[in-house]
Amino acid sequence: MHRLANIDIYIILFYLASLLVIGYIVGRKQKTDKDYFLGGRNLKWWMVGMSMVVSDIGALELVGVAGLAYTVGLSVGNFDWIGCIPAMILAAFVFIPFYWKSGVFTVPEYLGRRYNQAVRTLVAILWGLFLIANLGIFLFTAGKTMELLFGWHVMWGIVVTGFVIGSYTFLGGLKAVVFMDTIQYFILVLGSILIIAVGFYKVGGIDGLVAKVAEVGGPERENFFNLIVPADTVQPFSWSAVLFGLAFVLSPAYWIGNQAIVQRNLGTASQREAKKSVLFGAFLKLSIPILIVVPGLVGFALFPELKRGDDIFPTMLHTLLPPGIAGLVFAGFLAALMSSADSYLNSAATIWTMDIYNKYIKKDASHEHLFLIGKILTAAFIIFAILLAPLTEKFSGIFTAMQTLLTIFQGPTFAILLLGMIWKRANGTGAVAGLIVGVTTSAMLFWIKAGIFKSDDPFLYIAWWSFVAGILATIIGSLLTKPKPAEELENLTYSSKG
Amino acid sequence: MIEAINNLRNALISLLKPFAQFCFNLVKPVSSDQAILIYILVLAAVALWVSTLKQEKQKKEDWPGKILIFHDLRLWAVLILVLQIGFYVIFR
Repeated sequence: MHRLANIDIYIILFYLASLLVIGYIVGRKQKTDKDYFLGGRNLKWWMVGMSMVVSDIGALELVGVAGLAYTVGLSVGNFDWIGCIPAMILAAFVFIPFYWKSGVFTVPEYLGRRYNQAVRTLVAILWGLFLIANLGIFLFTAGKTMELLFGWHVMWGIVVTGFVIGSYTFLGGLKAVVFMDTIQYFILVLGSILIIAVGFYKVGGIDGLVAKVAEVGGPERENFFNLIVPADTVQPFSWSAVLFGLAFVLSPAYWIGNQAIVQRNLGTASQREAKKSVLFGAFLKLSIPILIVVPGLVGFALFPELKRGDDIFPTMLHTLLPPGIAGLVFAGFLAALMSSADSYLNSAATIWTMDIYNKYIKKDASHEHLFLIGKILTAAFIIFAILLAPLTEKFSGIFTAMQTLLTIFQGPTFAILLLGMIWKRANGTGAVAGLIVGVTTSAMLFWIKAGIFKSDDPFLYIAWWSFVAGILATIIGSLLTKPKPAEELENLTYSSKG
Repeated sequence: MIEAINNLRNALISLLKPFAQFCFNLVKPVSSDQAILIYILVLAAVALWVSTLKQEKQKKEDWPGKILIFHDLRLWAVLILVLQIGFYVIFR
């Protein structure tokens, strides 16, 4: 097995140590919950834009999307184009102003004000669990990669990564997270460019890539260089699945309803800055398919014999790059992983502090007290995630099911969020009905998917139909019950935004 | 018990299959070029909608740059969408 050279390990250790020092420096002046959870509301728009993009990419996407590109080809690029850009523009001009004007810390808090506390608690628990479960999986991914490249036991990789992420998030809160993500964005981009450059050199440029794929690709890769895949494919990314499931539901649900994303926007100095950060993020997103998908395409031409597409990024990293450079690129990989994990850690602490602790345990808590609770929960969650991470391998079926279950609520959550903002008549009863019916629809469609869908993995279609079911149930439930008084909707809906 | 669950599953499939087939028949005939056109139309519709919003300008004295047209955030949004349309045309 190929291992990194000593110089690579020194580069990575230096990088990890730097993160701790920066986290301490950034966090030492913080005193209140606003400082800790919203970065004192003075984060720079360009840093927030980079932070959103690099958190979205993450190590799982870096490995997973490169792996999918290796397997199915260019169509994966739609995830970052039609699957992001329109939703980000909508978020900037329609949804971000709501969060800003209502002065909330979290998405569940907004839903609580717009509908009722039952909706707030339901969504807070769903998102809180989702964020923590993902954290364990991020750490496990780091541990496995370190095992492959350093020869460390997987638990060492988990503990080291968890310690570094936990420390700077604990010390510096959202400001440290955004600051680190900005650095990590540059390292990640540099790493990807190096892999692409060396990969293209080895394969003989674009002509060499096309010729090699034609030679070894076989009939299952006839759409390899096509951005658009027909609807009758068994692949999950047909044009219709991408448009309806991704562009219309999962992408807006992510950019508008994901606490880890929204929290950054709320950390900027003004509504205009928040909008600028999302637009800048959208601009950066235009380049992401090139940085992530192209390595997968080139990787197939160079290493067509891999059994798992997900192995392509680590394989290219340790096979193509010389000592020193490999360490730098691996630092980029760690950067991507950490940027997702730190965001999820900080957001989980925020949701559990504001939507559970402050709501049910200590309603009259001071800002200083909530700041302290946020820190304690950050420490507790990273320890919990470290302990949980090894179970990812042992009980992978459970984790897969958990991921599926937690992912399928995004369509219904987006349905009630959207209706809550654009339709004054939507009320709490309708929202609870929408959530229940939407999630039930998702679960049912997952159960019978083999019998009704052509695709092997129709999760995008399921997201679409659970969203539609959530919309219909919310409308019917709202029309059958009393509306919320107009004076309670001030600054909470589009027509009353002020 | 297991048989009852299987029966329920089969009943649901029988119930939804015709609707699933109907939806599939709607999207199946769409060619790649037509699908690209649909994507482009979605992006263009968002660009058109953004351009109809009220101006998003900063106060003149707060703006350090000289090109005043770039004050307006709507312009940036439309530029991003135009670039995105361009990428779809190039990579189709």
